[in-house]
This record gives sequence, C-alpha cells and structure tokens, in this order.
Amino acid sequence: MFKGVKKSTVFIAFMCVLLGFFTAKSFNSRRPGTIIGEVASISRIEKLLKEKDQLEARKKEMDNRLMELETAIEAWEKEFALVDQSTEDIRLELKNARSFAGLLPLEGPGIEIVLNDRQKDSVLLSNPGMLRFYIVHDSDMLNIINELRAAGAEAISINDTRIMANSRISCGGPIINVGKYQRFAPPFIIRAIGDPDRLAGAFDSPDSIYHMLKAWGLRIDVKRMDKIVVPRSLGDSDYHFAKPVEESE
Amino acid sequence: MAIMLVSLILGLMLAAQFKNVQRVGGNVSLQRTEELTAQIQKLNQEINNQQNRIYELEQRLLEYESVAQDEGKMSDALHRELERTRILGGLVDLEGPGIVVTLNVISVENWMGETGIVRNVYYEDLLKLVNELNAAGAEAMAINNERIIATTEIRDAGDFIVINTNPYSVPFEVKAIGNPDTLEASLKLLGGVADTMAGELEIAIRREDKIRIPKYNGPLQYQHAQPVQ
Repeated sequence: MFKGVKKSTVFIAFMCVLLGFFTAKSFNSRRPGTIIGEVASISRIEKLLKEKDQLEARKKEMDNRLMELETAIEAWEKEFALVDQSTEDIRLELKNARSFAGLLPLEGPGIEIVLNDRQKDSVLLSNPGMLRFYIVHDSDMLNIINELRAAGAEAISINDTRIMANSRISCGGPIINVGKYQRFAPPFIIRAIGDPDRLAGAFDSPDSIYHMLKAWGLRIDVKRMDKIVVPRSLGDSDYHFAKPVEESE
Repeated sequence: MAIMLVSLILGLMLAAQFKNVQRVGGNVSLQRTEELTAQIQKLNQEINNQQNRIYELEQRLLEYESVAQDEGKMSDALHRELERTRILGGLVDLEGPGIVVTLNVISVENWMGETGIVRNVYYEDLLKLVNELNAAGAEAMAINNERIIATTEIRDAGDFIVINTNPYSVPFEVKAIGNPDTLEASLKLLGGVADTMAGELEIAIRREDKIRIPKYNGPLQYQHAQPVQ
C-alpha cells in the first residue's frame, strides 16, 4: 500500500493526523455553553465595574456634602458660643463628644505599624503546605488592635480606616475586611495615637502576638512618631435597632 | 524529520493552551462577577445610609438657622445636638432587641473525685465573639455591663480578663443590640464561634426583645489625641 511512498512522507501524514486530532479535541472541549458564558461575563464585568465606579463617585460626592454640612453646623455653633459662657461650655463639650464618637479626624503622638506577609524566600517556597503560617490573618490584626487598645491607644486606623467600637475585622479570602465597607490586601498600615513608648512597649510583653508573628517571619515594623493623623469614621455607626433610654425612668 | 517534530509539539501545545484558557478564564470571571456584585450591593447600602445622614444634618442646619435670632433657644439647640452626639460615642444607655450570650466553664470530675474545669474562658474567646457580632451588624455591645467602645480592650491579667481597665471573671455575659436573627445565626453557624466553643465551654444564646446596654463609664478625655485643626 505504501510502496513507492517515502518513509518520511508517511510520518508527516501521521503527524498531521495527530495535530488535527488535538486541535479538534481542544475545540470540542470548549462546550458551547462555556463559550457563551465567558463572553457574556466579560461584558458583564465591564458593566459592573462601570457601575461600581459611578457609585463610588456618588459616595465621594455625598461624603463631601456631609462634611460641608458639618462645617456649616460648626460655624453656627461658634456663633452661638459667642453669646455667653454657658453656650461656649456646651460647644466645647460637643467637640469632645464628637471626637469621642469618631466624627473628627484626630492627631497626636503615636506609632505606625507596617504589617506584611513573609517575603517569598526558600523557606516559604519549600513548604507550600505551611503557607497559612506565613501570611497575615484577620485574627492577628484583631490581636494587634486589642493590644494597642490595652496600651492606651486613643484612636486607631487600619489603612486609613478609623477603627470604631463596631468595626469588624474579618477574613475575606486573600484580603481582610475592615469595618463595614473596606477591603484591604497587605501591606497593612496601622496607626495608633497614644503614648508612643507605651504603645510600642506593648509588643515587648512576652505574651504579645508580636513574637509569634516575628517567629514565622512576617514583616512587622513598629515606628514611633511625634505626630500622626487618624482619619474620622465616615458612616460606620448607624442605629436601626438601638434607641436611647429615656433618662426620666 | 524536523517538520514532524515541530508539528507534534505545536499540536500538543495548542491542545494544552485551549484547555488552560478555558479553565482560568471561566472561573476567574465568575468569581469576579460575584465579588463586584457584592461590592455594589454594599455601596448602595452605604449611599442609602449616607442619604439619611445628610438629611439629618440638613434638619440640624435648619434648626440652627431658626434659633439664630433667639438667644434663649441657642443653648437648647446645642444641648440637643450634644445628646445626639453622645449616643454615637457610647455615652448614653441604649435599649433595643438583640441577644444575650452567657459563657461559663464546664466542671468535670476526674477519677479521683476531684472537680476541675475543661478550660477557662480566654480573652480571645470574647474578642472573637465581639468581632463576630460586629460582623453581624451589632449596634451596641457590653460584656458584664462594660460597654464596648472604640478603645475597649479585652486582655488577660492573671486569672482575670480586663475590659475597659476593670477585671472580670466567669461567668461572662455578652449583650448585643441588633437584628436578633442575624446575630444568633452568625454565632450558631456551622464551625462558627458557638460551635467551636461547645464542649469546652458552656455557651447559651438567648434572644430578647428589650436589652439594656449601659453607657461607657471610663474617662472621657483624650490625653494625646486632639482634633485636627
């Protein structure tokens, strides 16, 4: 049958059949459903991204409007305070209550912590199963914040999001959720206002989480600062269920 | 010979390539869509809240403008604003529906007839509990009537757990105001906080229509932090 045909030609023909087979196979495995789904979702992602951008711009606008109103309100309060000493006293008390409620950006001495996963190195790469020990977890962050609070921190922020009483810190896969709406990936920058020596000293305590994080090779740098700024909280506290108790009881 | 080899490799690579593109592309876009949808939902919710806040502030401004002519009413208006701000700062008792979680140790008797406990309540148990309830939308919380505010620590100190610089020991009672269904579900989740503690600690979750959470009683003045000028 193959008499008179060169050996190499037979081989090439065979290869072509093989090539054809693989090509067909790969096309075959892309079921029609998958193809449609893929194409649709790419345009859908674009649509969603656009919507998200619009909403974020709207949110920014509203934040600005909010702060504008607050400035106007404060201007009136200053005017009222000119009337007599008692209104001035109330105004100062009001300012104090506002900084307590996280409605004002605060500044003062404190520390800045930069927290990051372990650098990719031979140890990390040779133990892929141990990866979870080499990355920053929500519980680590929770512990660090708790230690800062114990050391007398007066205001704390993570990546410029103010931490309030009801800010949760939770795991969201590769990112960490902070507060209601923020999602962050490492590195995490934690700022705390308070006595810098006391705050930094908290990590010297033998039961501090600092030693464990260091031991696993996570990068944690603590810097004492003369002046840091912690931003205000923008809309994490809303009461739908809680009502103030009437004092007249 | 060379052509054959090249064709073979080309064929293999082509097949592998198509498979890879399909797998990665499909999953990632699906995941991304879900992620984006969730973010958009949250943004919408946030914008809604922000709208309410703006409305409130506009009302406040109107109120101020109306009292501006009357010196007697100015201090009243300021007083009302002070009260509203104190609520946000945790300086006012609050009440509302929610859940009460009690944590206690489990006593056991060993073969010699001595009684002991399975384990003590650690500060991390409380820390996780509070964080979990926050994630479920708790609006106000207290542990053993110690109000949880932005600077509240929950730390071990010997046999005690220190909350707002005051020492406490078992039993612990965590009160949280919020949607009782969501709060309870967040703890009872399979593998959730209540699940992992069960067996080691006695944990009871009770819903209540009216929980009272006391105000924060600690110092009200910051030593280091000042409003940015």
